[in-house]
Amino acid sequence: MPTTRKDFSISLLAMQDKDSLVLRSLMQFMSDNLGMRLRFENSERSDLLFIDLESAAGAERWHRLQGAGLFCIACATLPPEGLDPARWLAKPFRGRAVRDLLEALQHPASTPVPTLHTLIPARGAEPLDAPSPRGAEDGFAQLQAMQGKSRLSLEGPRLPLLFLDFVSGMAHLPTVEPGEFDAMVDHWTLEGTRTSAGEMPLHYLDHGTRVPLERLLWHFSTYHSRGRLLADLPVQGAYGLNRWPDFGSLPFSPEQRRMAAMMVAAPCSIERLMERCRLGREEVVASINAARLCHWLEVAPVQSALRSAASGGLLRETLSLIRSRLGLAS
Amino acid sequence: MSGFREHKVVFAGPVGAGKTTAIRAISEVVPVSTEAYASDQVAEQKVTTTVAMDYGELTLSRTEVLRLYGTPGQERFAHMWEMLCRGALGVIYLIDNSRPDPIGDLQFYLARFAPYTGGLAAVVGVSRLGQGAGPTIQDYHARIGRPRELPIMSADIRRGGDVLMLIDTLMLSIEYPPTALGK
Ligand SMILES: Nc1nc2c(ncn2[C@@H]2O[C@H](COP(=O)(O)OP(=O)(O)OP(=O)(O)O)[C@@H](O)[C@H]2O)c(=O)[nH]1
Ligand SMILES: [Mg+2]
Repeated sequence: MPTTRKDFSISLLAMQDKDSLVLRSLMQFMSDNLGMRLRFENSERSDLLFIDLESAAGAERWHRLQGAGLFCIACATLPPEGLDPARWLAKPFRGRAVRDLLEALQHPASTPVPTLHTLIPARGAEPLDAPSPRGAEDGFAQLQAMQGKSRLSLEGPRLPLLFLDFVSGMAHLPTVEPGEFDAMVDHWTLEGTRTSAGEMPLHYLDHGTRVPLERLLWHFSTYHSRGRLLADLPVQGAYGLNRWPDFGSLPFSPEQRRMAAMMVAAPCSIERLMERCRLGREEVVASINAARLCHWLEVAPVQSALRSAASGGLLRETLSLIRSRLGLAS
Repeated sequence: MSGFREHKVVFAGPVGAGKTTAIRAISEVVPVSTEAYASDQVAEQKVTTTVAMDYGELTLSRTEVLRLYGTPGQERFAHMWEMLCRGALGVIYLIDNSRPDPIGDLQFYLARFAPYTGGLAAVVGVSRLGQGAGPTIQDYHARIGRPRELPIMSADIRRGGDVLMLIDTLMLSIEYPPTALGK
């Protein structure tokens, strides 16, 4: 009968700080997805020893620990000759390889492993449950704490190590395959996350993936806001945008695009956006919060909100004709 | 025939940015394209290039049609740009982010089209953004300096959905022009 193991103690040996940071955060994230519990320590007696073969100290340890009945995994750019490939983890560390390795550990021998789809359902396939309402514990506090920052690191149990750079508009994370990020991001949440000011981890310069910041912030805001405006935003305000969001990197519906276009044109009240774009309050509020975090939000007193100077009747008709012809809801 | 109305959207941008690809992705008729084997410096980038224009269309109703024009990327066809832009709803600029100075490319096309496009809506689609370390959308806005008037979107032109997104954005920016208050 195949056994499924869930708890492992792990030590990363003879590894540079930058590499162990990446590997740890990848393992933490992947193990969470796999329902595994990993405990990191620094001991040659751990269940799993990850040894960096590309340092002299690592090579020495590898040879010393071989044959000692320990479960050692070689971390190296190329597979060491003669080694069982299941005992090798490629450097630089990548999400997919780490996940495959953890899966194999969890389901020894020929047990069929869960597919990517069961682990990381496609967007929309299986939405996350809303976080239980536990006040500051539900991640909204962390969302609040991101306001007005120019650079920020996030570290938490349901996230890989993220570095947010509001100046370049990009977020940095451990290397993932193209397309993998989109499948993963919707599973990242802010509960229990520590935010700290600071510099980008140096290793992200050469071993990282960069993604548009707004993709992350819109996701966090959609997941954690639940109809609550960030603390210092007035409920009775009119909200505008100081630039067009990048619709190419946001999973927006045509209705959300319309909301953004209205806000770029002129500040609007929440009610007007809901009515004109046929969106619920939660969706509108989530976008306002996200825009705030991106530094794109403009707040005006509600009485100064203009009726959007939308174009005349005939042109309007034409636009809606084109939209319906293209299958874009109007 | 009276009451027949036509609308034009123009795709512009440098050689290889995806203008022909974009029109092919959404046209309902087999798009007319005047491709020729590329000569001289263009040949280093791709096998064929558009030498007069691309054309595609979408029927909107019995009396209305949307025409899609792709301007040739090479500057020696600049004389056609004015003709294609006359009476257009708007212009979609396609920029290849993997070229050496893509923001410079955009500035060049915006400046060259300015005499024909005063007051026209415009949208920028930036392709191949994920590749390499080219500029980010934020960098584009910072250098162009018109973040409220000019939508700049990342797009994979090979995907029809992204081309539709660009057209939708163009129409939204026609429908909701920025107000003086917002400046
Ligand atoms: N990776 C990637 N490739 C693209 C994209 N858009 C277009 N391409 C490819 O780029 C090549 C050139 O595209 P074209 O559509 O011929 O370019 P064009 O703008 O018409 O160029 P000219 O007619 O020469 O001015 C094609 O092979 C496309 O498949 C994109 O968004 N991403
Ligand atoms: Mg072409």
